[in-house]
Amino acid sequence: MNKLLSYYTSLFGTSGSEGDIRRAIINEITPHAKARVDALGNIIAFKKGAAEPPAVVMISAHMDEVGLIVTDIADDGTLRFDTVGGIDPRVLCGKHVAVGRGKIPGVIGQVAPHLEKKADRDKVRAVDELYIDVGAKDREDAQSCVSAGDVVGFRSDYAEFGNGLVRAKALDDRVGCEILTELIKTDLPFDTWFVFSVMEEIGCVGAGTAAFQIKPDYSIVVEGTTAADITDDESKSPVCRVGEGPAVSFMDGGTVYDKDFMRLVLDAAGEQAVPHQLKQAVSGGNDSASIQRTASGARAIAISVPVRYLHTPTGVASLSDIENTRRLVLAVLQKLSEI
Amino acid sequence: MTELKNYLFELCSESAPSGREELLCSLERLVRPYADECYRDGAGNLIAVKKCGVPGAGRLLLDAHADEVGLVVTDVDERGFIHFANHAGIDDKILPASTVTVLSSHTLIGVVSSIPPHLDKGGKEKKVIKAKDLVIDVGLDADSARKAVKVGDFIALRSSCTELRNGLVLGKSFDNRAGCAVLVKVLSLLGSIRPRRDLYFCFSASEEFNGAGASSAAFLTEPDEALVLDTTFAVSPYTPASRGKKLGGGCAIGISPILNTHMTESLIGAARSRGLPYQTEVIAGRTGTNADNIARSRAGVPTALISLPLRYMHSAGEIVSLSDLETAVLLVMGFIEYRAGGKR
Repeated sequence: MNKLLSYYTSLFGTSGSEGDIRRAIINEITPHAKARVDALGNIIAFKKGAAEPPAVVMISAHMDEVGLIVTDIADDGTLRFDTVGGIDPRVLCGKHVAVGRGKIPGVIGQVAPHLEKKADRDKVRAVDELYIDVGAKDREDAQSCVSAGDVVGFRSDYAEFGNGLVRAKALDDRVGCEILTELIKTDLPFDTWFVFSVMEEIGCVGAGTAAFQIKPDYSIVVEGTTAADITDDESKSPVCRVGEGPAVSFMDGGTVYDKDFMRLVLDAAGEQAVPHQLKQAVSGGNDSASIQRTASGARAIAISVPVRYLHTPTGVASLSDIENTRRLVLAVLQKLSEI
Repeated sequence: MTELKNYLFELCSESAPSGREELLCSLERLVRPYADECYRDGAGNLIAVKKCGVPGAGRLLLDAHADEVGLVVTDVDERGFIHFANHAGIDDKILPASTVTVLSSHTLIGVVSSIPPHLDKGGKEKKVIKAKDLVIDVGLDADSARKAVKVGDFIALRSSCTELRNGLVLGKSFDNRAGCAVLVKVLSLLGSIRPRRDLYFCFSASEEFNGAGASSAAFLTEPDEALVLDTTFAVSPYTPASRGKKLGGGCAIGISPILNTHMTESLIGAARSRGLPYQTEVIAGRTGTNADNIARSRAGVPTALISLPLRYMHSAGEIVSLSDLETAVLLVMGFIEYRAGGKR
């Protein structure tokens, strides 16, 4: 079992509330790198390599995950909430959650199908029509354990299953955190900066301010990205496929990636025989969008682990893709040391 | 209370959609030590008998359905994904991104698909995704998936049991393992009273599908009277007091044309004389429970109904109150004494 990934995905860390995962990562990496926490909560780590760096290289992964936040407590003791990051309301009904620092267990309510009015059968309730039930008797009872502003995470177990796959919450982007941690524990060809960023899911906030401090020439973002390979509709793109290696992006919703750097990544993959694929759709976005434009700019690339059911209580990824993503990033570092 | 909770959690740790009730091994294990006879009949009901020892004594049937809602495999496609249909009672709305148990020859755990929000172009009003447009991902390629999973295999919702505040508990299949847990507890307590009638505990099959289990159990056991335990809707934000019962307010005693008035009065009398909290649930027609099937079986069986208030019925996040279960145990015990008993 990938114990580190299991541990990282078990922790809650909605955007802005990354404390638990941050402490876990710092404990893992401090024997191997010099790490500090900046004003926004990013971890900025410096890993000494075998040689002087050919350029400033920054590898980053975001610590935060999508989740919910309590906005109000109703008279009947149920909690109103909003989403932190992009979550389709259709994945919420009936799911188990943990609220606030106390990880108070609760469930997102739904209407028994027997009582649903015919006109409402096909209607999707918007997030502001949904609520969390923690079993409180009334508002006062709920207030004794929950406050507006408490963040809410999905309760979902880590498990490895099927043909070398893993299912867990927050694979976006704890896979990246796991890969960076393993890289920090490895001997690297040259001095390298690592960033574990905050608040990616609400607009790539942390990575930009981290990049401002490091001023990288080259930025490698290690992400979990959408795999829509469940579709059998030929007209729809699978984006990328689980089990076919890391996805290299040429463009997404936030970034047009550096052509030369991308060529270098593909060459490195070819030379080291690392299975890989191109992300076949211009969709989503990641920390590259902020890093690329920070200070005087950086050459950006994103290497991603394909994840099915991104931004839901349970994502699915391939353990070999995770391993090959780590291998590809290492191959890119080796290739960069030749420039 | 702890014992009742343990019964409930143990019964919910297994999955038994309508038609696969034999998978609920914990039930037989819990029931057998207390029963004079215990057997599974042709319909899949588990029947436990407590004899009173009097030749020619009457028979009281105590029924709680043991099955749960589920899905059924309709196809395993060329990519290894499982296509499925609703087998009994599950709303499409709760399915995307759920974790499920696929009850094949070896149990598999799967994830129900969803559409990544990144690919969902805005502008259009979101529609509920129909079960036919979802797949279950068991993480296997086509060959392995087709070997492991067969068309017709059943699928159950999956979640673990959790304690909430105020004696409430959260989990799957409380409808109607809550009723089963109450009857197991009653059976375990029968040493303290001496019934004048033989008691037939029926943990019935197929209630969520068509109620066939209770019908055949009523035929088989030839009861003079029957008492059914099931769950009913509890008040929640979209279920006002006009449609639901108060969670934690005591069990709901059914009042309906199809239910026997004297027996219903006995239930109310037992609750009052013992100071048990109770609510009445007036149902204008049939009850939508096994009571309907039992009442009309054979030449007609006088039947009463106790329902435990439950929120979010037929989801993996149902909520019941342990205090309501506790009250139900005392109420059923009181009822047995009233109609079939006498203190030891």
